[in-house]
Amino acid sequence: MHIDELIHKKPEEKVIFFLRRHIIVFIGSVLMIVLLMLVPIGAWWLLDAVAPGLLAGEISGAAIKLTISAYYFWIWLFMFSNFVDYYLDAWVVTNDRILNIEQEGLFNRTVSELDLLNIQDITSEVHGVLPFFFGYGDVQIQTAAEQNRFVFEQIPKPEEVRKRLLTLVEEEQKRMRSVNRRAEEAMDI
Amino acid sequence: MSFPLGLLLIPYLLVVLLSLLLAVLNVYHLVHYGATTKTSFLFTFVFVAGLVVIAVASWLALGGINWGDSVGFSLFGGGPDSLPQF
Repeated sequence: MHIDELIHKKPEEKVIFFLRRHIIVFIGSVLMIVLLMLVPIGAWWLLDAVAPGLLAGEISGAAIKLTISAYYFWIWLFMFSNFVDYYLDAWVVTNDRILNIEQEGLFNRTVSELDLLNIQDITSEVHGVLPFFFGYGDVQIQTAAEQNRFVFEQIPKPEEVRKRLLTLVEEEQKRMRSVNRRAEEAMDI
Repeated sequence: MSFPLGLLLIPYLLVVLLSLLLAVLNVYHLVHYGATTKTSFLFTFVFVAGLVVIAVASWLALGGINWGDSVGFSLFGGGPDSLPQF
């Protein structure tokens, strides 16, 4: 089953966008993990130069090897958790609503929904050197209600998404107006 | 003061078991939330392969140690002669 089947699509509802953070955000965290994987190698080299007795010692040598092994298990797990976090965070835009699916760590998951008709303002932002060069940024969606703004974080092509969202909102408003008009006409008859 | 060297393995195994448990939870999340796509399969495979590499490397590095040995140490680095004299 694909993730967009989890949103329980209504009849005649079409998925317009299925958005995740830009892949460069995940690649950045992988690069950080690669750097962290080099730390024990550097520490081993440093210890070998400064205190070789520690590495050769019966207790200290065993303890250092155990620590390094456990460290690599954790770093590798950290990378996989980062992937799961990246992969399960998604924003689904349909012709009727917006769904915000957020995985925070292993045990927290938030799914929120916003009707297109409630949207009042959409802002796209690209801040920083990396977002500028790789073309990713945030799209903030403001509603009339005093609830928190919906934010699509670090998504690719935020400006295009903003324009398409505005078009979708206009289409939905037009559709609702015509439905209301027809309902009024039916009542007059 | 002496203790069996194998005692060091207890916290190590606890840490490894906890990391494996969290790995299983991560895979469970992917399956439960329907993210069973080619990408997630590929990444899970790479993760498991990496885990196997780390486990084998650890086995090779730790295999040469005699965990049954009883090791002793002194907080002052030697016998009573090494204590400060007043």
